[in-house]
Amino acid sequence: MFSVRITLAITRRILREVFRDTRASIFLLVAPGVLIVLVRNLFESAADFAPTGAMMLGAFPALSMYMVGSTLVVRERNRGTLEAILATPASRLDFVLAYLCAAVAASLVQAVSTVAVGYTLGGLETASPPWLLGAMAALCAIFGMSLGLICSAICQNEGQASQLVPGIMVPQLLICGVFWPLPVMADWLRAIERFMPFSTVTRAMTAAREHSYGGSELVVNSVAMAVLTAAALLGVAAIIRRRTA
Amino acid sequence: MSESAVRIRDLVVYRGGALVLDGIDLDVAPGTVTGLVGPSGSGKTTLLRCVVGVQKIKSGRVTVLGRPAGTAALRHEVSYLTQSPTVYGDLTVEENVRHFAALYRRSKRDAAIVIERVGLSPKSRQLVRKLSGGQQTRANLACALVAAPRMLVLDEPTVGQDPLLRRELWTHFHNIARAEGTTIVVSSHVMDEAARCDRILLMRTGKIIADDTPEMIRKETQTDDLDEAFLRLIEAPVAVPQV
Amino acid sequence: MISRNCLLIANRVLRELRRDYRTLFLFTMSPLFVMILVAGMLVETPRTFDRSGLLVMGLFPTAPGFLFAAFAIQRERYRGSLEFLLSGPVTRLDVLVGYLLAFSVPAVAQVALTVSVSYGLLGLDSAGPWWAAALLAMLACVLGVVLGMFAINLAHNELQLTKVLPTVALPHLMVSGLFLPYEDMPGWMQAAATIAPWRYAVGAVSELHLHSSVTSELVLNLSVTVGIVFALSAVTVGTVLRRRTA
Repeated sequence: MFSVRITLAITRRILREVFRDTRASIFLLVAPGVLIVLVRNLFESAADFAPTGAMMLGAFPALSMYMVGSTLVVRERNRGTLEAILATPASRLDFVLAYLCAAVAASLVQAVSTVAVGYTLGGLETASPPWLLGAMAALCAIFGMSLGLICSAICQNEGQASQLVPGIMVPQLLICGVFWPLPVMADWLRAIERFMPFSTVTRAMTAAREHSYGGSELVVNSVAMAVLTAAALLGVAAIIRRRTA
Repeated sequence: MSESAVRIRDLVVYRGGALVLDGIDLDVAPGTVTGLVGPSGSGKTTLLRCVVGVQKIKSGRVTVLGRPAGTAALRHEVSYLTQSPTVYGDLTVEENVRHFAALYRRSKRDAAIVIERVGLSPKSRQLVRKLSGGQQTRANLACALVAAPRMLVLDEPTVGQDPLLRRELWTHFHNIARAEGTTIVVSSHVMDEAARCDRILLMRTGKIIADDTPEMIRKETQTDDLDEAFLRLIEAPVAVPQV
Repeated sequence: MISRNCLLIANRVLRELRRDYRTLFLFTMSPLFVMILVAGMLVETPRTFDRSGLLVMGLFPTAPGFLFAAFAIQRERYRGSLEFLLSGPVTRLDVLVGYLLAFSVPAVAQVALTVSVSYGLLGLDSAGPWWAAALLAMLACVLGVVLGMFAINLAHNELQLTKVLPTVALPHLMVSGLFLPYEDMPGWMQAAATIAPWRYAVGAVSELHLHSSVTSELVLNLSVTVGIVFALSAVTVGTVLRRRTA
């Protein structure tokens, strides 16, 4: 079904490709810090910033990894490397698991840098310990990447995949409460928020901030994220067919 | 007759609504170098894809090394070179070949040997997207060769290469066929490469119009020039020998 | 400025676009979709909706324009068709203007739809006239397309583009005055804002929200925005659309 050796070989290849350009990769590492500082200054005090800040710790990694993921599968398919690799001993499960491993590796790095800046320059204070927020940030990033991967698998070209950002990611960002508090929004929006994939990110991070170790809200949303991630990855495996017309 | 490396019966394939392969029957003997020649659009690439197992087929049977084409076990034994380079542009030649080596359980040393064989050693630390078209094809070929499989399926591997390199590559193909019993199926436009094969399969509009050794084809069309032989066969097809 | 070649290119890009239903749909509908969401978000504070809603309506079109242009040009560059095009009798300005014209067609539909629904159904109100808002939205789209074409300079391939986009676009968004009025920003942020193209577009739209007649602020911000469009176009022609490349 799958082989650890092959999966790791492909993971190494993906990571090399994604991070080959050190300049852009450093951008990605530095950007969370810049953003947090900027947003912090939009608020009067650290306490005002905290709710948004905590959500950002999860939202930014999720969004940026979504962007990376959204081009990956389309790119492989259009360049023919997808077909070529499926003719090798690699199975589709190997392929998908490799993307998951690459996502984990990349997420950890981003999570650490984002959390570090959040607590120092952002002056964030949370009920849960920083390492928990960091772990959650990593989970959000993995989740974001999987969403990106499945969107990528259903799109025919990179242009379509990128259009999904203003199309489905920005709306989710707007509704989830990062920019505007949830309670004052229209009822129908609040109803949508409950079922939106992205809400798992904001709700989990908010729970981590408010309650020590998050409580049930954190657990429920983390599980939801994990389930959605698995579903998305299985979706990718199902969509990339070995035999094509 | 020993077991065929490739056995195809009644293969029919449609692509994009059009009939591409119209009832193909053929056998490829193991340890031989078989050339698949024909004009563009004759179905060569589609046929090769069927052998490798990445092509949806309408009907018919394709058996490779005793198993149905595309079976999981076969993927360790068959290596495929696509027509356009499918190497990773942002990786170096070395990284690409080592990657494919890892997939097929070959060592880094095997990768280095193969890179030397295709003449890319001086460029092995170069990013593939910075190579010329011909060099990229060679990098692609190295990725296919490093697998050292029982069967190699190569779609126009020598396109854009200079005559010296082409001769070296073909010598290498024959060597591994003899020494290791690898079955090689190569498609090409270039007729004098076809002359170097053990057997030639001539295709036109989805059918095999000749399946024979180069000598026999020359004898039957009464010319030594294979380009001419091909043209004559297109105008008046010779009956395909029954298997 | 608009030559026959230019129109031919625009025609070709449009034809490609017409076959790509998904992109076309998302491009045309996403601003409207976002407006509806914003209306729902700010349902309890109609005055905030008037300000923020106008800003979103006038400026959001930059995003789909940017993304679309960036990936479309990148695809051409990768395919080699850009190089092929530039080796012929077509001038580089033809290519740029051709692309802009092509994107303008769905952009007009997009703006018309968004503006009519926002003012009509969603109850958006502004001191300035709706057609001025529509024009600003078109300008935002053009700015997006030009920014998108320019952004190719920052990335070799689409993978790098996806890394660069959030890291450059989001801070830009923050300092542009969309979330916090320019006056309320700390000094260093205001300084950063002077080089952010969007800041001027935001300034122009804000003026429209507050004043029904043309003010000097509006003219200033508008001129700077248009100036940026021209400047970026010039740089794009010089860099991305270079005939001789390494």
